[in-house]
Amino acid sequence: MLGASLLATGVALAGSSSNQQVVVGTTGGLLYAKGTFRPVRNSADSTQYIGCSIYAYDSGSRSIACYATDAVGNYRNCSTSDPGMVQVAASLNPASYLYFVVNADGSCNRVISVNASYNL
Amino acid sequence: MKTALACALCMLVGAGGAWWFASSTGAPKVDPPVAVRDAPAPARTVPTPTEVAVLRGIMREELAAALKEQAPSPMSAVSASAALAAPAASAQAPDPDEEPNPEPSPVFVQAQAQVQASIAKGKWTEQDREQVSGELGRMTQKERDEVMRSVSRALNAGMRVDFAGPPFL
Repeated sequence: MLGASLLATGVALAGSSSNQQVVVGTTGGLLYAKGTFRPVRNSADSTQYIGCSIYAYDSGSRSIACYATDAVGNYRNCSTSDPGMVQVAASLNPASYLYFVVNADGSCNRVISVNASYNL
Repeated sequence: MKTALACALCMLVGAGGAWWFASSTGAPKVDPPVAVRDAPAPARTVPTPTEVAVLRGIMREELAAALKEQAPSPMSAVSASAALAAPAASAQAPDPDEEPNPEPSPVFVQAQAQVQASIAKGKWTEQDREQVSGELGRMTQKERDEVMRSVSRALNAGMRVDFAGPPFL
C-alpha cells in the first residue's frame, strides 16, 4: 500500500535547488551569458540552451566554443584555445552552472562553472 | 609616487656611481646605464672621498634633470616599465610552431571569405557551420582562433543563428 502510494506520488526531493535560466547581459562593458543546465533543460520554453563544445585536433591543440540562447532568442558565443578555459569546459556535467564572458574580439574573457548539488 | 621616483633615482645614481667607479679603477668597462653629459675625467685612479661626494652630487643633479625630462606625467613610470619590458619580450626565442611570417593558408582564406559572406547575408546557417567547421581542422591554431572569433563577433553583434546548438561542429 505504502509502495503503491510512493509510486503514485513520486519521490520527494529535498535540499536547495537552483532555477537559473539562461540570462544574457553585460558586465564591465563585456557581454556575458549564464545558466544552470538542469533548469534550462526543463524550462517551459523550447528556445533556451547553454553549453560549451570542445574541439581537439591532431596537432594537439584544443579549442572551445561556449554559447547560449535565452528564452527570447538572444544568442551569446565566445571561443578560445586557452588551456585553463578549455579545462573548465571539460568539467561541465549535468550538475553544472555555466557563466562565460565575451571579449570584444569574440574570444572568451572567462569561463566559470559551478558543479553543485543544488544544480541537479 | 614620490617614493617610487626617489627609489628609481637612487638606483640610477647607484648604477651611475658603479659605472664611474668601474671606469676609474680599471675594472672591465661597462656602458653607462643612462645618457650622461661629459663628466670631468678623474685625475687619479682612486678618488678621494671628497671627490666621490662631489662627483656623486654632479651625477645626482644630471640624473635628476634627465629623469625630469623623461618623466612628464605620473604614469610615465608604468609606461617606462612597459617600454623596458617590450624589448625583452621581443628578444624571446620564437615559438618553433610558428613560422616567422606565415602566409595565410588557402583554407583559412576560404573560411574567412565564407564567414564574411555569412555576415553579409546576416545569418549563420547549418550549411555555413558544416562548411567552416570542416575547414577548422586544416588550419593552424592561430588561424582557427581567428576564424572562430570572427564568427563569435558576428553572432554577438546580431547575426542570426539558423539552428539550435553550437556555432561549430
